[in-house]
Amino acid sequence: MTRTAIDLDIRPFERTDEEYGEVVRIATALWPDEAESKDEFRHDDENRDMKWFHRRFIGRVDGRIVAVGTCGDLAWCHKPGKYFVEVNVDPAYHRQGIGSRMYDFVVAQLEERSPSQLVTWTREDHPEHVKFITDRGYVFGMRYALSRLAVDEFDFERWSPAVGKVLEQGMAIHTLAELSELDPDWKRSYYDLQWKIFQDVPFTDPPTRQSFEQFCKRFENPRFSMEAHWFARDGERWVGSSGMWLSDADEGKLYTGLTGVVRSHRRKGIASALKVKGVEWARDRGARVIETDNEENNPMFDLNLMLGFREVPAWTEYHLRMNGSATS
Amino acid sequence: MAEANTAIRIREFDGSDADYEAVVGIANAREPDNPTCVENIKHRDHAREKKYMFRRFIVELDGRVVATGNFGESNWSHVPGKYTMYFSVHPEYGNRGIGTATYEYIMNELAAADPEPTYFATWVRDDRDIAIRFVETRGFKEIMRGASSRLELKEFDDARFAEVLSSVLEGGLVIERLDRLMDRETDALRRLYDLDWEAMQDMPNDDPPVRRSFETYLRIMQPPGFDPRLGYVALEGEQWVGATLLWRNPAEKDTLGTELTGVLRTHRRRGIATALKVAVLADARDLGYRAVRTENAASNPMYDINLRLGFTPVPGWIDYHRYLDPALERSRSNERDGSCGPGTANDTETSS
Repeated sequence: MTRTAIDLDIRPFERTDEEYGEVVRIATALWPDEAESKDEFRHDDENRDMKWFHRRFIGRVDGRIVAVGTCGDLAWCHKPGKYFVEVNVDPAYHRQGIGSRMYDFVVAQLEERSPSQLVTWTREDHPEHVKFITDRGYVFGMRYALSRLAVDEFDFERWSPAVGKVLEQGMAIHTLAELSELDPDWKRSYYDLQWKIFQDVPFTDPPTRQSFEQFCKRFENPRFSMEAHWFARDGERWVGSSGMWLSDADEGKLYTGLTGVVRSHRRKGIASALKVKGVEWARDRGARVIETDNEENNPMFDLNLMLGFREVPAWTEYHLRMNGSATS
Repeated sequence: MAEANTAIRIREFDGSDADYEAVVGIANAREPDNPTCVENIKHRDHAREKKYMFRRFIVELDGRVVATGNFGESNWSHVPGKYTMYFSVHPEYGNRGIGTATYEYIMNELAAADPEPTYFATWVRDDRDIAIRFVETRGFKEIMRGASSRLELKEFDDARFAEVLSSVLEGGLVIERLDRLMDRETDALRRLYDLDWEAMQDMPNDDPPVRRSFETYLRIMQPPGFDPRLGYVALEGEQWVGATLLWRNPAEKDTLGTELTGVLRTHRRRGIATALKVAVLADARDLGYRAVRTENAASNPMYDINLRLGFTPVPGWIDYHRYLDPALERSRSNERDGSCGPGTANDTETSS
């Protein structure tokens, strides 16, 4: 192991265009099949709810950005004392101790906040990342299964009748664009439904509710389309939703948003019908692939596999308790 | 018997934590000496290739879970028409017709399977007389025997094997811990995957193994089971010629399993497997582990190596097949005889 000390210059992220470009370049080099464009990344970054703690740092070697370290609150399941830590290093600069340096730096930034637990992620097809994480004492927390559907392999003949079956039960299916005409309070109805569904999504800690204002930022998001979100209504009541998010980095790719049905209306085929609407829409706009992530023991994951989604390497979440307890 | 069955209800496993806990509860009641936990079973379900059918089910008696089981296509030795089945009844609920009802349920479910079943595979621990009788009276025939063994690490004295180790090193080989290789080589697990497959092909098995994809392999090689500090590789120059890997069990933190030990055919009978095992067992002992378990085919020379290292036999497993077509049974049995002839002695083992 010839590890010469590389001079890594770490500074706070200043939101320059160069920095955004490099942050996205490094992420894309690490996870090429989940690429985001600079604009997408920047949009999300600039629209983050500012009430949550969030810090990013840039590491340079000879002036070139080669590492990014981020830490902060988990906005979707916030718990005092719990922070995420994320380190990305340009693959061309791996195995030179840069990741360790950035990691130590980021963790040191959190010290004054006396964290009780750190959370980080990797993908299971990157054993060197898993090792980096577990070497630092993290233990496995949960797995988010990823699956993809090749739109042209979808069995429309078999699944399209799912929509009719929901209509036969007296429910209606609309896009958000249609509902914005039908329900004067559509934004609020959508927000309330999402929260009902979100509370049943498996996480390791209870989910945190987004503010209505924060939620409404999605309508400004270039990846959000009013035509690509479908809802089931039973009378005036919103009972189920599914949506597709566009990808700026890859026009042929769509991401499944939160799909769910309120408890009282489960096991009626509503989620399948809404997903079928989504796949039909994807086909009509010429999309090639739909990607979705689920906690793997979620019944929604089984539904996706049944619809023809194929599992690809999963994201895994790791936890580190900071009270010095042994991990093995 | 029939009236005793009326309160038995068999339903599909729903993937909930409660159902996973039920599976673990029955397994640990049946085999307290080999405990498992929800994390292990979830990991196994996750790592299983989804292209093969696999279903778990839950058996309830008056609303209480009294048995759990599964059936599906074999992951590690897939043959179209071959279906594996396995179930366990809680020891307090024996002799009430639960096993019979469960077996009938599996047979019914599999009758509709596509492709159509041609034979069934199952396995029974060799110290379970009632279970052995149960499968044998239903037409299952013994295919092979596994020999399990266990080593108490405080009794392990690596100094006794210093000569084997030095003769391997004098032969120009290097023995290196897996975590160090992973720090050095980006494709370390890819190389382990290739070596694993070389070894697997020579392992006595009920049917020839099917190579799993590298993606599937990486799904398996995850913590907490996988810990690269518990692996050693033998290298000749750049070539990986042998490896051993122990496996952590979150349900029994002081006891390790053996994931694999294998040496390339070209490098066997030089003490490499022994040297690798000595290195990893000494490390496991020094890391504070209490014991190591291992499972081999009884006919595997690796079993003898384990006994020489000080492992002592514990109850093993018997593999059974039941053929629906006698002609197929005859031809399969001939194939197996052919493959078990001289010259197939190998240096590999695995545990499931």
